Amino acid sequence: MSSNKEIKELLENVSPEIRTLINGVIDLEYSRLHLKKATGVREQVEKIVREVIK
Amino acid sequence: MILEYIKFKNFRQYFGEQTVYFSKSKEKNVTVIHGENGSGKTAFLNMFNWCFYGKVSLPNPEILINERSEGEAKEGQELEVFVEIKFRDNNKTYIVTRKLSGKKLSGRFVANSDAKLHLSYIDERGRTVEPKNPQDTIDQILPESIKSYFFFDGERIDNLSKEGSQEEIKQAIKSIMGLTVLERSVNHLDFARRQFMDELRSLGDTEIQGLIEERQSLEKEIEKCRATILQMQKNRKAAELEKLEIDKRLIELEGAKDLQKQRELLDKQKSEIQIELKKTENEIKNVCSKNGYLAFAESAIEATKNFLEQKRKKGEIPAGIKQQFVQDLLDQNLCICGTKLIEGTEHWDRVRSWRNRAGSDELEIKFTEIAANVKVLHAERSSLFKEIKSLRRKKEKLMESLSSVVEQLDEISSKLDGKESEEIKNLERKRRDLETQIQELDLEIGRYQQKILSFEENIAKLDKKIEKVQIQEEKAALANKRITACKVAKETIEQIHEALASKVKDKIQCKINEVYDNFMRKGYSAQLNNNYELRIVKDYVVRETPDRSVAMSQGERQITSLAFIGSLVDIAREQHEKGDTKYFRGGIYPIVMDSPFGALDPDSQGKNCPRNSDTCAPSNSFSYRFTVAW
Repeated sequence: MSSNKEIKELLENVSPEIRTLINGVIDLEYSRLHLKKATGVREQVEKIVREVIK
Repeated sequence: MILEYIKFKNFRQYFGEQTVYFSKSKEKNVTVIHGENGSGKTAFLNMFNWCFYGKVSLPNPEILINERSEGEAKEGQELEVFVEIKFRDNNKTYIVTRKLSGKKLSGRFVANSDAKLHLSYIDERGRTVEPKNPQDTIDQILPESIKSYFFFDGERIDNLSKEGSQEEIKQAIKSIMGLTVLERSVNHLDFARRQFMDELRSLGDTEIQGLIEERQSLEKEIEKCRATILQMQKNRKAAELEKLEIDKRLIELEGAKDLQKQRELLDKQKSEIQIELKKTENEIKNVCSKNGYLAFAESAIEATKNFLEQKRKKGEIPAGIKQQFVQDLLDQNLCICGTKLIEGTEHWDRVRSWRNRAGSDELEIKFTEIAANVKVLHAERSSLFKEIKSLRRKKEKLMESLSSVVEQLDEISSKLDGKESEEIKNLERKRRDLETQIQELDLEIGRYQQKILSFEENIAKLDKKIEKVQIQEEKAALANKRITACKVAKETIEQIHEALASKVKDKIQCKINEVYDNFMRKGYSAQLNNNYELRIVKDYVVRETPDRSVAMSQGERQITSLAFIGSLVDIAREQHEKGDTKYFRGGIYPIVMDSPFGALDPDSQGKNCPRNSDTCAPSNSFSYRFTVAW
């Protein structure tokens, strides 16, 4: 899909730190998606932000 | 998920242990199961639902055991019901089994406990793994929330193309395409941002604390407004559906039938006029914003025209002699009167002084341009008034037509209200109440949307103030940095989501038409419009009418809904096979369908028979009743 190019451009416009943050959050969301007891995701996102933005 | 086999024992109509193997060929990926009425095709579909999610939608769902096995068993004999499915997903081979064990006691099967779920898989290295929570693993592969798009009764699938199913369509696109992940990320990043905001408030000085508190209270207000809007939209939708039901009932009633039909036509006319009215208003706006200045430029145009005219009359523009002419005399060292022009002499200086007074070519060009433009502006100004006048006349006519249609609609309503039949009277009164309710809700929704806009403007102003405040402390600076990071990440993901959603929608549109074109009416095509409505539209335009949609029969609705699901599954698979972006992973999903195309005529059923199926012979191509494909 040509949207890949669009996504690439969007990501190029942000700093590497933000890219790492986005990737971390998306990975987390994928791993927790569809789980009935997906508790603590909010807190884990907050943790990722703390780890990436120091 | 690619299904390999399903093994089952004593499940409803199925006595003993049996196995059905599914086609694994990439080219011939459809398995068709044909059976007479009551032979267990729906039970077969339910085996998937039970095995994966422990749920069945059959009469007497609590009785799963096969009657014959129960009847033939001796008192106290152990019995079992199980379904086992083998499938492949992401280079892993899974075997999932759900088993219900028990004994025959007092002539009936009594289960020892709830059904037990067991799942194991063979990973890429050939090792067998047994996950601790098998249900979670299944939900990760094929979530229960989207199972209805993959395991379904074909005869009941037409709901996706019915009115009011936009939300379901939108949800299906998001879930199957994995866009939900992006939405969740946005929400969770926003939550994290708020946490850091709290942190900053506790660390910052009084000024910043005040600003943040103000911001947070505005955010709460926005949330409240959004929740109210959502509730109002739900109420509006419910009112619309109720109105639709009343319309359906009225058309069935002998005393109201004709008037209701007339009303439907008028309603259509009304919406056409409203669209045309909006279009005309936009045209007026566009004309005004593009050329509106001309209405106020009359004095400026006249002044320029007079100024140029005066200059021309005085002979200043265009000038009597040109700079180039004087320069040529100087270069040739000879005046037109025959006097020799030698540099440094009085004659030379006099002629040279004319060079500065002569008109420049550049000025001459500009003069001609401005003079021409003034004429054009003058003409444009007159046509602007003409255009606005004609558009306003068009608008007035449309308004007249609209009020005439509204009057006719009111008249119909009064006639229905005046009918002797109590049912018609009551239905009409209820309908009128619902219309008022819908109008009021629209106004309220608009009011709340305006409120949100104004809150958002204030938030943007506060953000600028917060940024300006100097944060000295290191911790506060870090919290601020994290707030910004959350905001930027959230905005970027939102943009990614928007880009993907729009591309996916376009692609679905193309796919639906590819599927639809193969077997439905010529001159018509399927359309997924911007409001996520699945419709059939005329390809040709008889007259300029904004709504080209046509009413669908149940069969057409089934096909349209199936084309939609098929397209989604197809795009999800393509994307999964490409695997080139983590933001949109797609997936391979099976489609297990009971009674496919049940509401279609035999000819259309024949056209819809899966061409690549190795189990579907052409001679009985339209008699199949159950399909499994991926």
